[in-house]
Amino acid sequence: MAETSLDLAPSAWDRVKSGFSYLVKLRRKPLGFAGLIIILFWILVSIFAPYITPYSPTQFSSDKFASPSPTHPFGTDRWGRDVFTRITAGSRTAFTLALSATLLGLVGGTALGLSAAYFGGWIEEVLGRLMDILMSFPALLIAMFVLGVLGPGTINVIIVIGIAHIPRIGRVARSATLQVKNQEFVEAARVRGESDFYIMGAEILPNILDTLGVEGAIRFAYSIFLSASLGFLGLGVQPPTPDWGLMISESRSYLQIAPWLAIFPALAIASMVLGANFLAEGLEEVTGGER
Amino acid sequence: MTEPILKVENLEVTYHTERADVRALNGVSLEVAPGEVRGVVGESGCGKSTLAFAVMRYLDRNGEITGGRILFNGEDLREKSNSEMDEIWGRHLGMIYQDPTASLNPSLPVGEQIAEVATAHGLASRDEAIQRAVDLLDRVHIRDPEEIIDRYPHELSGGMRQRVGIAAGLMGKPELLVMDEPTTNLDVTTEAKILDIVEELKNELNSAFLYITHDLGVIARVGDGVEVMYAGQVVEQASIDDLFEEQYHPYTKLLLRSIPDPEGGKDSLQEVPGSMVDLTDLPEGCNFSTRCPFRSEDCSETEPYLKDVGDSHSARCFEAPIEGTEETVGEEARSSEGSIWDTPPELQREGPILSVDRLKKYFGGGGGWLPGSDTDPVRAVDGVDLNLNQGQTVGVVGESGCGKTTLARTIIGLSSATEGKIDFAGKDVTVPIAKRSGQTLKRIQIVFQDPRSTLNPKRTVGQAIARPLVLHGDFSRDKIPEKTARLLRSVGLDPTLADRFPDQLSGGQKQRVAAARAFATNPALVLHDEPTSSLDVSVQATILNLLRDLQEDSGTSYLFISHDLSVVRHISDYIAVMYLGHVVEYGMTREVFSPPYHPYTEALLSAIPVPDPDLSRKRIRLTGSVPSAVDPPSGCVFHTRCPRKIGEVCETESPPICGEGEHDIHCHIPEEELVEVEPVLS
Repeated sequence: MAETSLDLAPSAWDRVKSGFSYLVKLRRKPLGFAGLIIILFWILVSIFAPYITPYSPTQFSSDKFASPSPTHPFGTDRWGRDVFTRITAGSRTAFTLALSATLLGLVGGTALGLSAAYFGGWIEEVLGRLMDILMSFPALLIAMFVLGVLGPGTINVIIVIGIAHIPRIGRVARSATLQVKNQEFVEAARVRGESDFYIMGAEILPNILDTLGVEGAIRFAYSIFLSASLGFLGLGVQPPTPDWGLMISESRSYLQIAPWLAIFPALAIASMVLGANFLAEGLEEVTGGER
Repeated sequence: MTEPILKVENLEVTYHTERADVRALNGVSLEVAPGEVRGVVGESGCGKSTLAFAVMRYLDRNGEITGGRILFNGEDLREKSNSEMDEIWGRHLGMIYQDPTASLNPSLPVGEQIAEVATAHGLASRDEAIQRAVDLLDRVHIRDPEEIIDRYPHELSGGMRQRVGIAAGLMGKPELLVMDEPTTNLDVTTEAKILDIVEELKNELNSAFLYITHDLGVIARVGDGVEVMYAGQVVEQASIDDLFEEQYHPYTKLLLRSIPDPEGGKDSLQEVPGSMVDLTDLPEGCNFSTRCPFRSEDCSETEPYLKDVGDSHSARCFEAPIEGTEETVGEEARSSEGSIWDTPPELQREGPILSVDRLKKYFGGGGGWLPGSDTDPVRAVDGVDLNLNQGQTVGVVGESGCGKTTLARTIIGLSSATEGKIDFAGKDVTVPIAKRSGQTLKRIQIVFQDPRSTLNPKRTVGQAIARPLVLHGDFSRDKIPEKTARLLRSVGLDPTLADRFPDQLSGGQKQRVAAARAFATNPALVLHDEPTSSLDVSVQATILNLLRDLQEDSGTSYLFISHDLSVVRHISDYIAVMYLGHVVEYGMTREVFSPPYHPYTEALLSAIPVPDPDLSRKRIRLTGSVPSAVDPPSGCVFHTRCPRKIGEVCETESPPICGEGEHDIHCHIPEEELVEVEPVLS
């Protein structure tokens, strides 16, 4: 008798494999591929940040406002800290903030959007109107308000940005769920007596992950942007943590004498935001076009 | 014979796709003469629609005509520029599409759209064109055409839209009309009317038709000649009578015998083994050799040519004519290890397994919160009685909108009943799924219609089948892989398919997996909601045979829902005919198929396309379309369309039940008169 090995649930490895196959397909999409390269570049930078330069991001020195040179490729700031080092270290801050906030938004938004669409009726109405209210204020405004009350800090920034993402991700999750929930395999699951929780998690969720992944990449780009804005306003990460928004904010008074203090962090933000957006674009093409 | 209007010579069409170039047509030649309907038949993927679009020069962007000629009135259409084609399209060459909804502009009244064809070619002034549109609508038997021309497409029924499409196609008085599956989306009674129109037009206008269809029954009804296509080639070419008299190509032979015969019984259907070849990976020699039960060694070496086998009858086969008939060939041998369960699904007990009593299901309706915004509900199922005995099959048949699917969904609990009672194995189960016991859930299962959505695309076949075993099985988990493999074999699939994802399976294989999933819980009752209507006929045959075998092995009862009377007849012991939420006739299969009939059943029977051109039968055509289920007719719901309405009593009183024994006919006509009618199929 032929023995077959049967996995009873899709393994995490299957997911990783299918995610990886999308990345391989990105080769054919120039824009998406460029985005992938940019993001990979920043991931490498953030992993190896401490080993790239001989300096520490918070180490003061007497060499203040040094212009870019072989010893300090991006120059130094008013405390004599190496800007290049602070940019590389800042990529870690940016990733930490943006990834955590995006994840929070994805989890919250998916949970709300999926259950709203799945249950329908008054649950959908109530959740939908709540999202509308949240969305009727600009994200930055809500963030400023909440951080004004809670006080700045890394955790608070993550929570605030994550919550700001929830309504938008929730909408995407809802509309994706609506397309799946009346398909026959979902009804087959209901007919055999699966719980709502199982149907949402095991039957519907895997089928909306592609869409959520694309949305996640867009939200990630927006998180970078939003956290930099909050840093710039002084509501985000506090000094002396290396943060790109904070760096631009600190450079304002010295723009005349040390423009590199603003230019390099700005370029870093721009490249990461663009990279994530390109990646989202590419992912949308390879996932949406394929299924 | 008159000079042909269309002459296709050695036509080759290639689609350029990312993966490879696909040769969709590989040297197709055919002729169509004025006053002739030339049918092109074949299963999906055979290239028949490509042929239609190539003749029209409407190929998709990635499609290219790579060889051959399309001579229309002696001129090669391949050499025409698009502006020259503009002169030809509509005026000399018209097309009718499968989906009239997509081919009509939703924001223009239909009269304008029909008239447009003439005004665009400068054939008539706008007023003359509108007048002609009215005449044409009249000609395709649309009532009150003056009123209809001002309607928008969404205000018309599907059958009316298709007739508007035909009227628009006729507006420029084209010499050739290309029809691409014009009746595939329509109900049989509507289809019959469209086919009548095609026949009339052919005789009166002397138009030529290139008629693309998957349905040999349709072609038998309207066609003069027929081309059978397989893998981009014509494999058999003949006049209709010759083709149905004798088929020389094995494919045609098998295909024809795989169609359930409306006069036939519950025997096994002929199956066409295997599935359509991959056009990018054609076999050596004959394209059909991989599936052909009659193949010899030559077949996989040399490519056969279209050889004459009779007077204007040719077949692309070395072996033609084939002698003898092959025994029924199954796609893959099913295992007969018996049920994976140790106990039969239901202990022997008295009484029906399923009993439905005055069941009603209304949708919507009720009070809005604004005064006067109360709406009437849609009466999808309006008082249905049904009994189903253990191990038997009740077929529920009716046209779209008759409530048959809602009936199934209410029985299984996907919709909650508005009124009435559902008893399953002696227990009241008139509650939605959430309130049913695990025992009830596992013993009623369903097989759905759409193979594309019936399986979760993110789970393997093995996972799909194993899940019900995990949920309802009472054995240890390490036995599940083995049970899954047995289930797969029991539906004729190789257990190694367990690791595949649904997008790696064919439509027929997906339906087999769906059947395995339904049978995994050892159900006593399986509902089948049009399980074969999205499949090709050859695949349909294999699924029907499978379902029958499964029933024999397990003693499971079936409620089988279909719009196709031939299919229902093939599989059912009893048949319920539904119309507008009501069962109008119920009885044993042979009783329903012979007099006395309910007038609606009679009309349905006379509308089925039968693959036999010699069959003469009564022609009963229903007028109008199915009334709205929001406001169904009073009295007998069928009285607005009934060709045998006897008078006022039909409008005022709901019909009594007549008929002998278990045969129920809901009709005011006295039984003695109903008995006297001639059988429709003789």
